[in-house]
Parts: sequence; C-alpha cells; structure tokens
Amino acid sequence: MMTGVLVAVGFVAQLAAGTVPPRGEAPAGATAAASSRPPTRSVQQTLPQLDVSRFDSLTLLTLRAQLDLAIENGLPTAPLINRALEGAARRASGAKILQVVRDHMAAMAHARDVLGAKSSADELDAGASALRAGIDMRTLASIRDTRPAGSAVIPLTVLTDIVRRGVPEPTARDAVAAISKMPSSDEALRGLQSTVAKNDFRGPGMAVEALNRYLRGTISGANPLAAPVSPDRKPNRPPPP
Amino acid sequence: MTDRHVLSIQPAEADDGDVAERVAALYASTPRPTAEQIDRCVRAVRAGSMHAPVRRSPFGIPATAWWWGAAAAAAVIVATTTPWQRLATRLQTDSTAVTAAVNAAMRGTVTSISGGAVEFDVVLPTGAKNVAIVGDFNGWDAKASPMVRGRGNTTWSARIPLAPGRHTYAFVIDGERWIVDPLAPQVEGDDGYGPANALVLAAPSS
Amino acid sequence: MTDAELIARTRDGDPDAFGQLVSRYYDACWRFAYHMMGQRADAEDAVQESFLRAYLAIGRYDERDQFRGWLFRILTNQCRNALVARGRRARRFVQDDIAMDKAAAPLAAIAPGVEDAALSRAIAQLDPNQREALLLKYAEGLEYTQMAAMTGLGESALKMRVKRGVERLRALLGVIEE
Repeated sequence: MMTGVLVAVGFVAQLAAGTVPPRGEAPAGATAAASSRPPTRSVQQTLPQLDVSRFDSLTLLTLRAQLDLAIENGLPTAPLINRALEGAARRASGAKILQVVRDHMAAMAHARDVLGAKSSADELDAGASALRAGIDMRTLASIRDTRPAGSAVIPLTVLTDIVRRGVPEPTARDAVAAISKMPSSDEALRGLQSTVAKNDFRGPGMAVEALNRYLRGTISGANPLAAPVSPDRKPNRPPPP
Repeated sequence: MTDRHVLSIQPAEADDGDVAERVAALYASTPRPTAEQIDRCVRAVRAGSMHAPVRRSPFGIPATAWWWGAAAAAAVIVATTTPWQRLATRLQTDSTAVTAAVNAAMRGTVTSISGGAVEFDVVLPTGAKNVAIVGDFNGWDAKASPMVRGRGNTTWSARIPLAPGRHTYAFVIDGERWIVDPLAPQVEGDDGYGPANALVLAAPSS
Repeated sequence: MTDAELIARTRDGDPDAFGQLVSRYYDACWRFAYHMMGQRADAEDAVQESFLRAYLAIGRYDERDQFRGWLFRILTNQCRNALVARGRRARRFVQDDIAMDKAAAPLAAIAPGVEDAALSRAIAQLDPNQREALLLKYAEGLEYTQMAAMTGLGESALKMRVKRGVERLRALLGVIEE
C-alpha cells in the first residue's frame, strides 16, 4: 500500500486542472503484458491522487476536509484516498463515499489506539478493516503482542479474512496468534488463510475443522513454516535468488 | 414515547418507595433541552462538524472548541473504548449476494514474478468480452489495466508492477460487474462498498 | 416513519433520516445524561458523542434490538467513560480544592428550574455505578433484566448497586435536610 501523507498543496492546482496529475516515471496502471517478458519499468512508490473529475464538487470539498482532519490527527491519507477512488469507480453515491471514508478514518484511529502509534500505514489500514469486520480491539492487541510495529499486516489480513468466513473470533485469534509468534511464519499464515478459504466452501463447520488440523500441523512441525502449503496456490513471494 | 417511568416504578424494596418516587419526580422535572440544542446535535451528526477533543481547564470549566467544516459531512474522530460489535451477517439483496454466487465458480491465482511485479490469473465460469483488474495501484480505473485473454474467453491474465506491502483489488467484467477472487483474502463487505481482495506483497529478500 | 425505516434510510445515505432519529430520542438521552453527568455541558457532550457513535455504528445495528435500548447502551457507556475521564482529571489536581469541588458537585449551575436541588446534588455525589443503576431503575423505570442487558452486569449486582445507592441518598438527604 502506498504510504505517506497527501499534501494538499497541489490540491488547488488539481481543482483547476480537473485532471489526474502526472505520476512521473511510475507506471500509472499496469501494462498487461501477454508474453512472459517482465515489465521494464521499475516500481515506484506513488501516492494515490484524488482525481477531481470523478467526484461532484460537494463531495470533493468534504473529502478534502476529511483528509485535512486525517493529516491533523496524524493518520495516513493514502488509505482514505484509496477508499474514495474505489467508491467513485463503483459508482457509489457521494454520501456513501463520504460515509465509508469517515468510517475508515475512525477505524484507523481506533486501530492506532490499540496497535500503537509506531504502526505502519498498512497496519492501520489492515487494522481498520479488521475492526470494521467486527473484530474486537482486544483481539487486535493480541496480534500486536506477537509482532513488532510494522510486521503485523499479514496476521491482521489473515485474521480478518478467516473471521469474515465464519471462524469464531476467539478461535481465529488463537490460531493466528499462535502461528504469528513463531519465527518466519508469514507463509504459514498465508497457508492458514488458504486452507480456511478452501474448506469454507465445502460446508459449514469445515473451515474450523480445517483450521484446527492446520494449526496442529504447523505447531507440531508437520507443516513446514516457510514452504508453500499447497502446490496449486503459489505463494506470494519473489522466487529465490 | 410515554413517560412510563412515572407509572411503573417498582421499588427494589418496599422502603425504597419514597426515594424512588422522588427520583422519578426529579427526572420528570428535568429542564428540557432547547430546540437550539437539539438542532446543534443534529447538525453536528448530519453535517458532521469536526469536534475537537474537549479541553478542560484545571478548574473544571469546559472549553469546548467547535468548528464547522466548510461543507457537509466531514469526518469525526470519536473517542471510545467500546469495541465494535459484530452483528449477525445481514442478507443483502444488492449485487453482493449475486457476486458471491458467481465468485464461487471463479478461480484466481496470484504469483509474484521478478522485478517487483505480480501476475494475476483468473478463470471465469463463463466467457466475458473483457476483464479488467482494478485496485489501489491504478485508482480502481477499469480502463487502466485490461487483462489479456487466454484460452477461450474464460482465462485472463495481467501483470502489475506493485510496491511491497498491502494492496486491495477486484476484477471488473465487461466494464460493469465487479467480482472478487473467492479464495484470496477478502476485505470489506457489509458496510463498505462490497467485497474486495487484499494481498500483501513481501519485500524482496536481499 | 418507524425507527426501522429511518435506520434503513440512514444506511442508504439519506442525510435527513438520522436527524429525525436524533430529534426523536434527544430528550430521553438528555434526561439521563443530565443526571448522570451532573453538568450541563458534560451532559450535552455525552449525548452528542453518543449520537455520533450511534451514527458511525449504524451499520452494526441489529434490527432485532430496540433502537432506544441500543442507543441507551451507547449512552450509558459514553457517560461512564466520560466520568472516568473526569475523575482522572480531578485526581491530577488533587491539591487543588477548587478542582475537587467542581468535579464532585457542580450542580449549582443547573439548579434553576430543578425543584429538588437537594436530591440533584445528592445524586451527583453518588458513586457513578450506583448512580447509573439508580437512574436506570427508578428514573428510567427499567426492569432488572433490561438493565442487565444494557450494562452487561448480573441482576444481583445491579440490585446491590441500587440498594446501596438508595441508602447513600438517604444518608445524604438526611444530612442536607437536617
């Protein structure tokens, strides 16, 4: 996720121009290359820009006020801009977009309360999603206990997903925390999410059963922590050098 | 709403009747809020005024600072310690349920390739004319990243340069229908816009 | 329009719907907050914060709950938190007699229009837990089952708090009335 704070300095210029500001070298979108040729341009950390042409003027004005408030409160604005753009793309009403941005900001503030002020923007974003999925702040605190600042994004994302799929929160919390505190356990966490997701479709209660089996396997060492868990689902990491 | 508290006081013990009645009477005689006060509250919630944290001087005299957003509905940070309560999932009659049904047959994979790019592959249950991937990396613009058709009209692929970290994304079918990968991590849903996928790209090991 | 209809409209983004809910329930919330907080400004803050939180959480409201009860749960929490915060602030200035006085019994400002000033002051001096239980029981007229659902406490604990609250009120009123 793009980190950083949107500075409103260029905002007036954007308002006047009504266009998406150029992003410099970074590829604004993807070049969907058909062949196996890898993209030649390097990835840059771009800040998402609030494309003024996608919002009506009233919504835009209020979005700006919301972003100002976020800046004042030291909250990352990139996740909020992201939510606004998503809403515009989904053709949500101005009121709905503002509600989502407002809710997300409030959730990020709560997430920061529990995850700590040193949390990364991605952690606050993930924490906010977790809270808005109904996860308790104390559960977030348990996850934070397993990972220092900056490293809890994957546990939080996995936790949110498996809870949304119906794993009871205490069970989910215990499983994610148990794996998360083991060293180099990101892959194991991804594997947990994958296992739960696959088994969820098989029927009610299957997800929790699968979770328990997986957890036992991981803790006992039967599931290696760092290797891919299932062959048909490639892990999300760069190939070994 | 009736003032039922006056009519239905049941003292915890018979002796409490006098105190109970007195409390009830006090309650009934509470000075009403002014219309202006209610209006202030309505405006504060509806127009979403930005509410500064209440500052108190050492002498207990409140010095609440209010200021009004330039437009309607600005954001509010509300200090609270009550955890967010999870409800039973509400059935939605909007496209989310339909999306879920379609999603159940859709399959996606996400693969990291060298150079900091990620390849997204999807297999759709039915053919499509065009498929785009949208997400935080392209401002959710369906025109920005069309996917490339593979076999028939059912397999589609895209390579996206991505910075390490968390990203959210979805797929748009024929410019209109938004779907998500059912097995990949999901976010949002009920009180957002609808589900999206999340991925966390690890930093390249050095 | 029913509460359910207004809530549905709020969720759909109707900007006026929640305002109508506020108008409908403001008085009831105000009355409770007024006696719970013992200060007009604090009471107004607590009520507004509660409506704001209700608005932010409207996506989580379960139609099976009564809106009033749900709102009151938020309100009682809000008042409780605000009192704890106020108590912390008061303790920080423990050397400052004025601060302690203001924190404990600041009802002089409210007295005009309130007939039973003595009772008002006495309620303000109750332990917040007893005050809350007493108000819910004898001011709001709730059953213990409702109070338990609202506060998360057991009924016997609540009964004990009400009992102690009444005893303390008697003591305070007895002293004041001579």
